[in-house]
Amino acid sequence: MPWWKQFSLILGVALLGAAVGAALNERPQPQTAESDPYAITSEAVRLLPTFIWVDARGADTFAEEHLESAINISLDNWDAGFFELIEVWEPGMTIVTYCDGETCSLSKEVAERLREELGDDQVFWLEGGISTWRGSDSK
Amino acid sequence: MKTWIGHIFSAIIGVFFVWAGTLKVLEVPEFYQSVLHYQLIDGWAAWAVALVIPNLEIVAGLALIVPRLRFGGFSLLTLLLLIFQAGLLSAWFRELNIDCGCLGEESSSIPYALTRNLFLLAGLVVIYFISLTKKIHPHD
Repeated sequence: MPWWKQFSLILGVALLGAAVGAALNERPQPQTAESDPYAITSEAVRLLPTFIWVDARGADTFAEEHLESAINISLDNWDAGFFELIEVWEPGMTIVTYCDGETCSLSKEVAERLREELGDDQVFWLEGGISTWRGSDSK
Repeated sequence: MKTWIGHIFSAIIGVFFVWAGTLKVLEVPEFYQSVLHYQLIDGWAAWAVALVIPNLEIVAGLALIVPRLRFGGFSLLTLLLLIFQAGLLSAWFRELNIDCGCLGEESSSIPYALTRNLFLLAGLVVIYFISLTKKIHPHD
């Protein structure tokens, strides 16, 4: 079979499968402050009397730069950061997780796991991540 | 003998891609999240990638096993692997602390996935020289 017929056949069947997948699955909507009760904006964070920053990015990125007094808890290296957190955290204290920017979802995942492990729902993720926080800082 | 080696390599790599694609097809929203973790594309583009890539893996994997479609399967899988490597290297250089997302829920780190893909590419090179060179140059 000529190469172009092989390509057309493979791509055609794959696209058909993708179309079926699109019909069977709904794209998860990006979570926003309006749809996710655990999203928090930079402006709302500034109004918090006290809270703990949790940096959800990798250890190397954290070592390069992070927000002041943040604790590094990443999904790949959970235990060390988690133990550091529970030394300073008390039930009811607010925790705000962050990662890089709009498309980064690590903060959401870390916040969700922290809520589960701490058994406390006062764990939020920063909308827009560290880039939005720094942007709002300079305004 | 060489023909059989070509068939065996094609079957092993083809089945691997069919398996990898099936794991993702069964959990498209989770694979979509994995695509987002790379922070290269988002929104509808990421959704399109999450829908097309697993199906392409399955169909191209099957094509690799079928001798008459092997060249098409080989070419598309090679292209896919090169794109995967580029994405993984990009994530590695940006020090993104993410899971590869290559095999659905099964966790594999970026260095591990890069190494595994190199072996798959090596396997495809073997298939090329054993099974495909005659088809491309029939007068050799």
